[in-house]
Amino acid sequence: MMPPIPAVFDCTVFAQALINPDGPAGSCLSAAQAGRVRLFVSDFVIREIHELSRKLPARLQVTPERVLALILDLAKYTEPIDTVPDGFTYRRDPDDAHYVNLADAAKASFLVSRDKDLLDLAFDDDFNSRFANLRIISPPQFLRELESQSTEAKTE
Amino acid sequence: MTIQVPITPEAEARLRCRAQACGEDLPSYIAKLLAHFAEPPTPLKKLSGPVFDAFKASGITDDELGDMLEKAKHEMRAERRAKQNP
Repeated sequence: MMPPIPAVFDCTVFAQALINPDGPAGSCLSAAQAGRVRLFVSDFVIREIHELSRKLPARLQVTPERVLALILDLAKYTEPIDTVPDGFTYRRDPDDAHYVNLADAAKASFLVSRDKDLLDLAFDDDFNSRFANLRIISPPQFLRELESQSTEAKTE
Repeated sequence: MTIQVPITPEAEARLRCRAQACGEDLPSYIAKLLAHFAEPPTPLKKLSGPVFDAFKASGITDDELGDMLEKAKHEMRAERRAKQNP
């Protein structure tokens, strides 16, 4: 069996997984539940998941109870990082920097997000040389990575 | 089974506080926490329940949902920054 892939997810990935478990974000979180992803979180990420739910349209019916149930369940399969240094700063969206710093502290290989500000860092040469082992990709791209790694493992 | 693990004084203090709040002694509270962590994760569809039904009924695509969540995230952060730096 392949070792789990170390990763950090943007707070929106968790919310999208809760709202549409059948979508790519849901599949990413299900992969973490199944032990295929070593998923790291911090207090900041948990707080953002919680706060984000309050900003959603009522028609989506995302209640605080549903979000709390998701957060409590995360404790079963995620790894908390207590101290996240703030070595990286990002003027375009200062709060995005935490996700990069969390991924760096956790030595994660992937940061999974749909956020254009974060995804654009993949085209920044300075960023790529500083964080050579980190890739920032969308949920569908991450699923392809999981698929290709599992195919590689089967052929070995 | 009984196990012994070292924890920091800070963690002990926090756990003791939470245990007291639940009316439990520390070993019982920690045993319950560990039992919870050892449970298998809850399937996402079960966690989602009526939320998933509401999403399917809404006609919103997954991409539109993603855009909606990104917009909500940036509004949330802007509000937080405004509160921090009034």
